[in-house]
Amino acid sequence: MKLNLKKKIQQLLLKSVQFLELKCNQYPTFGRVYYSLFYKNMIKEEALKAGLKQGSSVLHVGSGPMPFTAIALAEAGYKVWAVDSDIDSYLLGSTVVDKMGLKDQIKILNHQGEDLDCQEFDGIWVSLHVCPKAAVLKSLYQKMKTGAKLVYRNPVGFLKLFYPEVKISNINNEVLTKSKARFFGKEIVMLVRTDQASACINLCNLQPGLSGVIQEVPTEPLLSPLGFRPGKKVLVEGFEAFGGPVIARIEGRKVALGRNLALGIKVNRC
Amino acid sequence: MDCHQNKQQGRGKNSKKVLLIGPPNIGKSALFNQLTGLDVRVANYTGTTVEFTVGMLRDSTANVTLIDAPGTYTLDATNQAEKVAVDLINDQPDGVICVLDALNLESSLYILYQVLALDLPLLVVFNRWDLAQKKGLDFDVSLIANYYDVQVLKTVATTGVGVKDLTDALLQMLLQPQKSNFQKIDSTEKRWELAETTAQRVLAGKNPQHLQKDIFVQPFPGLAIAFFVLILTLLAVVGVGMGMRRFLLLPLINWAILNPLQNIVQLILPAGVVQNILIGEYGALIKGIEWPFTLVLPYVLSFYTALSILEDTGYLPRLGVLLDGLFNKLGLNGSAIIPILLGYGCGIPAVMSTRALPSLKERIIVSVMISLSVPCISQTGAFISLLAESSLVTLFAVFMLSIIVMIITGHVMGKYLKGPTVMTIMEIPELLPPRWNLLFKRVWLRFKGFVLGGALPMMGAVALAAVLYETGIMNLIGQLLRPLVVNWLLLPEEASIPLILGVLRREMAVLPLLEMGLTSFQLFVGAVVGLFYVPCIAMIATLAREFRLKVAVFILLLTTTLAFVFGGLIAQFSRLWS
Repeated sequence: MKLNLKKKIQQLLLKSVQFLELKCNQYPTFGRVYYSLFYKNMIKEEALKAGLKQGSSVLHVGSGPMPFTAIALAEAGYKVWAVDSDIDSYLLGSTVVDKMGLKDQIKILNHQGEDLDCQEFDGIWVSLHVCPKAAVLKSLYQKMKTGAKLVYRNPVGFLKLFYPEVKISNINNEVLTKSKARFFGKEIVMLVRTDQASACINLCNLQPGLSGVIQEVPTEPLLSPLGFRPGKKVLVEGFEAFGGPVIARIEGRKVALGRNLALGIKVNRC
Repeated sequence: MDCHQNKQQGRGKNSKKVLLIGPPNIGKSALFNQLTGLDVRVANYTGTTVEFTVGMLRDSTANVTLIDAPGTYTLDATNQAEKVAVDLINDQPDGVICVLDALNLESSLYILYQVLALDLPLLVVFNRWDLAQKKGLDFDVSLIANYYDVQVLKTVATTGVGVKDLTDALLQMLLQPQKSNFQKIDSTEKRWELAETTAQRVLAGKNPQHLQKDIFVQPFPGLAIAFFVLILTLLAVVGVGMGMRRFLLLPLINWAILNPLQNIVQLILPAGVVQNILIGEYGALIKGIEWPFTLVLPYVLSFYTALSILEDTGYLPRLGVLLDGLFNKLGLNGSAIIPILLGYGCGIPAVMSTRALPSLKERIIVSVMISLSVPCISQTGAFISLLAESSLVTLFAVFMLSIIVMIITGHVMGKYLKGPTVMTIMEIPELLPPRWNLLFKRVWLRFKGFVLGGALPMMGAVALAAVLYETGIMNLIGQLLRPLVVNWLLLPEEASIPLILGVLRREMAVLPLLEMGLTSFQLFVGAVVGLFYVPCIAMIATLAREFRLKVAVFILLLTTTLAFVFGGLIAQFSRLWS
């Protein structure tokens, strides 16, 4: 009984978001405001974090009647394939893209998320409302190529009641990286597809208390005398507040490294 | 204030020059002090020494000049302080003492290889040997001696262990310079490779002990601790200073010096201009002694005691790391906190210490922040005397305003000045308990420095004020500055005195206001003008020397303009209010 109610609310929420986005479709001004409020910067930031090159191919699963994420990705300079399993959403989405003149950058398909072949994509975005989320994510993750990035959203706060939350461990044990950002009640999770053999992440990806073996160090003359050289073991003690430095222990030293530098230090987890 | 680098010239031209070089924060300056008997500033963070200091080897009849270079991880000169060290070693010294870190053998070997390649007479010293033993990292130094055909010694600079042997070995080396058999290595990678394999062989499986987790650098509870440490420091400096003034120095100096002095002068000299210059309103003997010794000295002592404890324990770099994220938003590194805190003592060593910052942009931003809105300890003493007795709120308001202006300055300059993006790399030194004998010595040095470099010039400035006042020149100047002082700042005409004297010394922009019976709004205006006004003349000279004349002139104009703009706005606003 209770489960039923939850399902109903879930559906209602989905319908209302669909309705809202439908309105966006009909009233472009409203749509633009909604877009710049909820999507534009968030997507841009994510794409930047994922470190995708301009012109890379990306996939967006669950694009909806007003494919904001896909539009933002296209504006950020990527080739976008967007899929939605709902036929109405697919049709409406295609007309929007046509209207906006983004036909060359965005291809919209009507497809189920689980069945997609995603070998060729460098990045995959999965919407919050995609269902069954865990299964879709798992299948995407297993099929995507090495080095590709998978970005999905988990609900935070009251949204947890209505959307499923997928923990990394639910997907795959190979998953190595996770970075979080909170934005309007959504938690953003970013995964990198890695092979056991070439499992390379950067220093910022290590959770406090974990250590890694350094593979690659940026050219900064002060790093090597402090011990940051390939082959050295480094332990992340913690991250400072306000976007401050990473505290790393290396050999007998304790060193604070700015995030911009730590991002360039590639490690293998150990 | 006390801004003297202890420099001693070599005895003539035939003196042998020997350079101490090595990584930062491992005790080169402490070793230098042991070898020369001088008292160079030491502290527990990288970049304490930013300039070289020269001294004579003691306990020997030989004529040997030692040069203490700033610490450098490599000879690649990554900042201004490291560049000083690299220039020194390229200047063909007669010998080099390579002071290395027993706790970090690999990186020590790397810089050793770079020094060996220069083919100079060389002694190798592993310092911090006591810590190495404690951590079980002690190794057989004769192995390194044999590999590279150099003499290797062990020392503990803080206690003086091994210094006698080092002196003997140094003299021996200068008599019979030996050449090492070291093959030059050109590539950085190969040098590291050799350092790594050699270190492994020498250490034979000993591993650096795991460091402890450090609550002072964790955001929680580190930030809360930092807040308490700063508040506690502030309270201690102000509270202890005020207490010392009231209960110790003021009664003592009044009883022992001022009263007898006044009586004697009155006995000897007839009433008139000369007597007034000595003991009148700005009497050189009265205010010239009372102000430096009862108004400023207590805070000099309390501030430098607190600062020395923070420096010695290694807490300052931790504070820098905690606040790094916020400093980044101003285009600065967290380590900029060190010059800023030093600036609350004296701006001159503070501007010098910016040499340890990674870029010119950061050096200029921090220097402007210090010149504009960080009051030196003399001026702080003056503020406390001026304001605390009438209202603590005004004192608090002045300091809040200074911090707000400092942040805005950093933000604006960070935005518009061109420079590389901020990169934080800071080694966090080990936390050490403060060493009380060292602390006492340092506060004593500050006291001596203050008496010679602070109190005497201050007496001179007071004497100048007395002469100007008694001869009527001050009246003339007062009339000249009338539109600015009386009409715009709403202060009495005689308040032009501090504006003239403030150019010479920062606290003199505030102290003369004490005697004018001002309202609390006027006090606030006077304090604000004094705060942002011209940093003292010695500071301008330092800025011109460290940067370019252009920078110094810019700072001079900026500070003067802002002082009158802020002061005037507050004054005019208060007139509207009442």
